[in-house]
Amino acid sequence: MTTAQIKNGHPASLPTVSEATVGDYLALLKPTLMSLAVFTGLVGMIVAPQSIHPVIGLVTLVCLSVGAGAAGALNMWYDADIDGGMKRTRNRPIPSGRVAPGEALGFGAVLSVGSVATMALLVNYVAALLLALTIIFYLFVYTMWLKRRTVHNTVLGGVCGAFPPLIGWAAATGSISVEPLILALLVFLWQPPHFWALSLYRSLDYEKVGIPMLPVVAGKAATRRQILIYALATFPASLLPYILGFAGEIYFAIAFAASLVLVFYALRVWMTGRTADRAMAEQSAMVKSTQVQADHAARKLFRFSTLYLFIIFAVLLVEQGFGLDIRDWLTSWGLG
Amino acid sequence: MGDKQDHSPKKDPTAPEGMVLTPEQVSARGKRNIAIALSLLAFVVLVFAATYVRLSGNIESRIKDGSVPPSGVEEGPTS
Repeated sequence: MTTAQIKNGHPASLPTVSEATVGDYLALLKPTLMSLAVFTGLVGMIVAPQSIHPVIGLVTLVCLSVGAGAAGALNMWYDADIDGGMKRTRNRPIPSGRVAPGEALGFGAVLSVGSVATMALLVNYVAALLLALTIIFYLFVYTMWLKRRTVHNTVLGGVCGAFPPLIGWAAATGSISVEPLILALLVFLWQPPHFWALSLYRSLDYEKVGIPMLPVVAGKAATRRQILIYALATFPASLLPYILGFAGEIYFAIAFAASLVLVFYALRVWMTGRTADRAMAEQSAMVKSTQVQADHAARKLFRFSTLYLFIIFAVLLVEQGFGLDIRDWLTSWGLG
Repeated sequence: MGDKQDHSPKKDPTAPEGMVLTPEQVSARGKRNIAIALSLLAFVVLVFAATYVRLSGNIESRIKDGSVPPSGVEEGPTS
């Protein structure tokens, strides 16, 4: 045995012992995406016409969060190479060396199978099937197939983000109908402006690792135009719950105002971007300052879009969960 | 044929056999074990509670159907 094969006085062939903390394993579950899935799933469950027993509702949310987290862990296992090359993701547990890739794969696989099986046994088969589809779509369709191959990765990958409201509804009713599909449509349309806003000021990172994000492939101007188009499409979609009768006037007023603000921020991204592009074309002295303004507008849109989805779903949750009706308030104030 | 010289590093006779964990590794492993234990406990409680709820619901619906008497004990055939 040579000295090169010896590490810390022990043969290198012996298995190394992980120093990964509990926090590293929690980070593998992508807590932000997990909380989005749980929140939208909860709203799907509350909006459903049939009530669900609180214990079964809790099991649904646990399975949904674990299943979504498991999909995140599998995504981190597969994308460890590109995560290591990007500023935003290089401190994740696998590229930083705190968790071995095989451990992340085993962790994700066990949690995926466990969450789907528990959902099937304790909730119902429709919800379990939808959860399984979400994990399969996120891992095989988005992560392994679309993400590194096509510029449409953000739009098509948005399908898995739209599943949780369907899962929540299916857990309560055992079926799928138009209402949860509207909620899924809303999440689906919301995702491209949200992630493209991020990719506008992180485009260098994506370019470095060869991910064909829209700003890398089609340029920032095209991305800003697409952001505006999707924000405009989100506007009417956000009003559909009221139009179809499963949300009230409070929801309508707040969704209308929030969607207006979303379109305003998207419009600002488009306009500041145009100014930056013009300054660049004219080789003006303002190139740097206009570019900073354009990036700032993209950051603001990214931050607001996160808040936007939370507002829309929180209003639905409060209005439908607590049975709030503005007509009751008007009557109680003597205005009805 | 002469004996081959042994170039491998000399073993410390007082060193313990196998791998010796660093204090960080022991601490991390202990915390992971506690997290696994708590997760398994939470899972068992959740499965127990969900099974109780589902079984209670099924018994209630069978009482409503009349297939089980309210006492919960089905009467056997009378001779």
